Amino acid sequence: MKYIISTILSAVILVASAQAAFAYSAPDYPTCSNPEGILKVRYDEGDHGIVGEDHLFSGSDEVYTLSDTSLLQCFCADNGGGIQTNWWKVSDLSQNDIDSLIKQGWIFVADGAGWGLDNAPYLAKNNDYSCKDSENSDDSGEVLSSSTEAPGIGGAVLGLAATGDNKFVIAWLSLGVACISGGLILRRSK
Amino acid sequence: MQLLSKLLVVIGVLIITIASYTYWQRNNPNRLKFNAAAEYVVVEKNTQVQDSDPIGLVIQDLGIRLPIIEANYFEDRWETTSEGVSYLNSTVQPGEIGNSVLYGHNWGSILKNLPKAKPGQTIQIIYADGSTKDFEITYTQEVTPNDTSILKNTKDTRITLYTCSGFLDSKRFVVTALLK
Repeated sequence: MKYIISTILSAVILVASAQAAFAYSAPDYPTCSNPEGILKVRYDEGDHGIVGEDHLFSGSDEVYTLSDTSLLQCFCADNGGGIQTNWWKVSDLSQNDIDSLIKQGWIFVADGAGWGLDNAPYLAKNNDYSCKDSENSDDSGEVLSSSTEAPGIGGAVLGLAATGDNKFVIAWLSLGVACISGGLILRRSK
Repeated sequence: MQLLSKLLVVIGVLIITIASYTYWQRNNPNRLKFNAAAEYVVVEKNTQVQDSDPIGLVIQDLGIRLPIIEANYFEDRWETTSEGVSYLNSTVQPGEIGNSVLYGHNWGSILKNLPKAKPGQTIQIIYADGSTKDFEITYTQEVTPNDTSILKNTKDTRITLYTCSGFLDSKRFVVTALLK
């Protein structure tokens, strides 16, 4: 019995701690609410395509170059619905890696030229956000909210504050129920 | 064996009582609200605040009226408060040029309603001298906890307010508002 329990526990721990090993490291993308990089193109209005969608969307569109292999597209529809698209040039990735990323929700684009990007394969991922289409936006081409490190927090911050503790409440409730159940089972098995 | 059985039941009841109180504490919406900014200012005046310090946050459309408490980030630890909204004091003060970062628990008594925020709504910051500044929500977005780009400073005058969201608090709901 002991052997079975320890085998099951070991298997669970092994599976839980297992992480797939990949040859790539996905780029970091900022959010459209605080974009970074160099503004590549900006349209205040018009119809725009969104990768993975089969129709055009009306609104404003901005694309920022983040690095040689990554871009950020921020589309803001006239109705305030926004779509952030993270673009990743994947010329150097193997087909296995690309297949693995597609399973994680990335969309494969065989040739970026059709989207105004380099003539190379790309992966793209969409995330929704809400925005206020600025009627009086500055057309100077400068990134208004161009980010810099905030004094005192900068790159040292590894994550955002944990501002919820539902896990704590659920864990305590579960523990309480487990204790009562255990107590009742013991009493009956007496 | 019978003693152990009784002990387990008692401990279980105790734990559930604590968990229930914790749940009530986090979800009683009237626990922290302040009804008049002036009253709140008087209270804060006793604790050596500067006139320009932010002390209250109001989002009328969401029924949110909360005290602002200064907080630090050091050694990978975020100070949080159960008494209102935390203002990260290493960022600029709300109303100054740059990105002022505020965050709070997603409890019913604090920022549970924040994910209902919509662009166009107003966030009002109340200062210790009784003055106020209005910020218009321009973006809302759900991000992962490691997306620290929202904390970076900006050339505009904005506040970034966020709370936990998603399954088991696995995401952060971020509201960006620009000075009107």
